[in-house]
Amino acid sequence: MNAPLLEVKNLTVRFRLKRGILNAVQDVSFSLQESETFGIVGETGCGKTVTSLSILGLIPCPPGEITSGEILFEGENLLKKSPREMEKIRGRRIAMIFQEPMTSLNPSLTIGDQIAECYRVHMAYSKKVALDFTEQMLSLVRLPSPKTMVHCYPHELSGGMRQRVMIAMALACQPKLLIADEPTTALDVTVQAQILELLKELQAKLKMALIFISHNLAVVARLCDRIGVMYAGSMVELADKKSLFTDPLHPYTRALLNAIPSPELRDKTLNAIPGTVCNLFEPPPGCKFHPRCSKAKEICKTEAPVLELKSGKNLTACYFPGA
Amino acid sequence: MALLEVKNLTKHFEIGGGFFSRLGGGKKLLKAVDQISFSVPEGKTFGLVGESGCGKSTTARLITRLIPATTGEVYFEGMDVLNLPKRDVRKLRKHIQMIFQDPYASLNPRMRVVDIIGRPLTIFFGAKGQKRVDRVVELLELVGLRPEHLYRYPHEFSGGQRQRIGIARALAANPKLIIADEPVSSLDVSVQAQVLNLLRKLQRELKLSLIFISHDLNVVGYLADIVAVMYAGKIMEIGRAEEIFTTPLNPYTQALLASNPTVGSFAESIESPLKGEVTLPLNPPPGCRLEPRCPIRVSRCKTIEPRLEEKRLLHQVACHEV
Repeated sequence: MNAPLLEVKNLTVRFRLKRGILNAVQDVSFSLQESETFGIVGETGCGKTVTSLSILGLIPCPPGEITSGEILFEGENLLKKSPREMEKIRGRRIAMIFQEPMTSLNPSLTIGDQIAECYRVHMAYSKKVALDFTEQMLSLVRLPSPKTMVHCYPHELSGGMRQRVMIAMALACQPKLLIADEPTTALDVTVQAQILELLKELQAKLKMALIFISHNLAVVARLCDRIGVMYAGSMVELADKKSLFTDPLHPYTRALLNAIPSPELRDKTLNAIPGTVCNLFEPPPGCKFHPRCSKAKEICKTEAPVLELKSGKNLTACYFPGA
Repeated sequence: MALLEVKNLTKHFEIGGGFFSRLGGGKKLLKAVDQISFSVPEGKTFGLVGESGCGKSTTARLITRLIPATTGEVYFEGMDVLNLPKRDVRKLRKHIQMIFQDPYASLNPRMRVVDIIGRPLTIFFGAKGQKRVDRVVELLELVGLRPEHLYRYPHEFSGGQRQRIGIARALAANPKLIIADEPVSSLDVSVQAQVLNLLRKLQRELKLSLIFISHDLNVVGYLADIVAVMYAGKIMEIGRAEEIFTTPLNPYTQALLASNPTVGSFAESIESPLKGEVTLPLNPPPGCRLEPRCPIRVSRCKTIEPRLEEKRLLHQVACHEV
């Protein structure tokens, strides 16, 4: 096996806020091969976005700080890079798509200018060449009539089209790694299906690795080969798509899968997870899921389990994995 | 007999008329809800599903008289809702209550829980003092909250708990019909399941009728007995939930279901059956609203609007080609 494209090792991120220290991400490790698709799933506040922002060096500091860990991208530790060096990597070798396409585009610039900026900054292309490439990118993401589209402002486009512009911008410099943070959450289902289809196709065509972040298990499942499940700042299970869905081991993953409503479950009570996500300012000792876990025993309350191979094929952070 | 009967309900909004649009060619008509008819039987859950901008929420506001309708008729227990004099609207709202989408925006941040839930008790029943507090405690317990929450403010609660407060407030009036507009959309899956279970339990125990509005097919399919699918201001299909989800007839419903990712379908490839995006029904052309995106369109779809017709028993579809 080749050296992985990206390796996140024991990443811990904290935010020093007025209320105290918020433990956003704790001891998260995963790796990604070239042109692999990796999904991160979890509920609000589980640390998915903070993890991805750490990779890009976008954690605001202060109040945020990465207290330990390494992020190795093509063998280099990104956490040791200077802001200037990160600027060269960001957008060039690692790119990101955000959730809300309206707020992540500049409303006062045409979309042509915004995409061309990637080429001007990273590739030092002339205006004319940059414009040519921009038009090519727009047709790659299947926006109609790219020649006129470059002169449009973001408000003239629909949500789905704006997200296509975001994808075009992210892929402009052919990054090795694309991080997509809830890219379809703000979209309607029929448009979501189109964007997922487009992302999958472009990922294969451009042979880039993809980290896809979502709160929706079903959406992640459509796109990713491997999936990591996060809860309250920790990775609790990491597995192949198939074994995660057919043989989930961590009680949280199992509970999450059981809590999804569907027409087939009519007349049955949903297996809701009792309680709410723990307070990240004062997380409970031991396993952070234990107050809501039906299988919690004494050890769960005192010692945090580590993510490891216990039984079956999935890595899981639980003392009593499986049924 | 149906509890609520909606006939040819229509709401048009005039868009524009401002300085710039006068330069640009005048007003346009947004046909947000266009000639829709349906009825909600007593004690059942009626699901209204569709993508953003299809007119789901406008329908809810029309029924509750929060906005005036353009034309159409709405009957609630035989009462002519749309022609009710203004002073009687409060009587209507005693019977029809709403739960809103955003539990952060729909609770007054400066009111305590006891006042939020107690207000409808005062307004509709004239409840005061200890009696009012006792009833609020009862309602809190009904929705799974505890008496110690009485004197707290909304910001002290999580999203799921706030939605429970919203449900308790709706129940306070002792309504016959509750309209829930995307009540679980802003909640995480694990909490969403708690609220869905609660809504279903309450609906059964209190024999409520529920109009449940959502863009999420899985949620509607789980909760509703009858489902209506809306697109661009029109009802495209309406029928029993089992039937809509197993044998959808309208191409739009079929596309919605095919686009809907489910955990069971993780191995399937992605395909988007509908091209393009929802266009707002601004000065819509005659013909079917879905026509520009429809995979099975024929020439007459462009000119003749399909009517909602009963194609199977209790299963109405608006499509020429079914």
